[in-house]
Amino acid sequence: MTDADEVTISHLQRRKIEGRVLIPFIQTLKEKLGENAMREVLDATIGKLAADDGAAWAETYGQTTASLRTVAQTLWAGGGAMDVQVLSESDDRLDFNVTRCRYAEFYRELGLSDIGYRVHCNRDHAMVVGFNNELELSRRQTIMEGAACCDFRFRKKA
Amino acid sequence: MNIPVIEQAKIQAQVLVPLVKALQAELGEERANALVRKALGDIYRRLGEQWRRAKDTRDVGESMASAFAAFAKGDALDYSVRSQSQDTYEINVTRCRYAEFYKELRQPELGFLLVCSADFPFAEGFGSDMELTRTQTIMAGASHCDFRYRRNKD
Repeated sequence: MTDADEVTISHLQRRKIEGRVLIPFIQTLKEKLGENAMREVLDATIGKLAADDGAAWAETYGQTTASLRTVAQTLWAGGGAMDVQVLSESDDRLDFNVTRCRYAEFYRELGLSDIGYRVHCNRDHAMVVGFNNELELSRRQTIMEGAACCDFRFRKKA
Repeated sequence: MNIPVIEQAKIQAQVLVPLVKALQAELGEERANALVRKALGDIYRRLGEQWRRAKDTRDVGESMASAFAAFAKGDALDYSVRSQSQDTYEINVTRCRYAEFYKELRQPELGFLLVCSADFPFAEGFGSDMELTRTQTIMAGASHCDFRYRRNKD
């Protein structure tokens, strides 16, 4: 599902285009199936897509912590979508904070940060599994949930 | 955002296709498809309303011609106009990259559900007197799609 036009569309633009159908779709699912059934089907679908994305990025950029930083800085933050502050990086760790996030701003302006967390932030844990299953992500807070920054901490599993 | 409708449809398909398939597995095809038609119906009816307001005209030919120009952007559709007036817009679509995209995914039924089905609520968005008749589509295997838009006067 890729083509030449893809490179000219930023990751943030893609998420916004996707959101135009996905957000009302989720709202209908919630209304017709209830919150729990909606979450179940949505989380499973998004998790699978995120793992596939992780695997595709590993193929393009490599599986190291350095390549993960490149993914965050160039792909996720492309077109000024995020401000990323790298705190420390080595072969077995990558720590960065996101201090501004336009993905979160997009959902917050719609008053839909809860959906934003499910379809956006939630992807990151499943993504790591597809990217490199020897890495894991711990993150205690996100801008989407109202924190001042997102604290991404990737570690090589013991 | 100056991204052709076909490129937007492809981006949206990346999440919609697996989501609809998961729903079908969970609820059965009939119930899942009804849910999808309801969700997309609301979305595309609103888009039709927005389009009508933006163009600010009751002219069926003019508004649908501009809509199809947008759908066709990025070389997405080949079509010939059979007639166009204040009250009608009749075209045959002879090549459709939306259909080609879904056929490449081997999901033309989902393509029909997610793309072709949306044309009816989109038309409804132009007013309850707007009527679309279409007896066949490329997505469903026909040689062309026969779109016939008409404003009912009575």
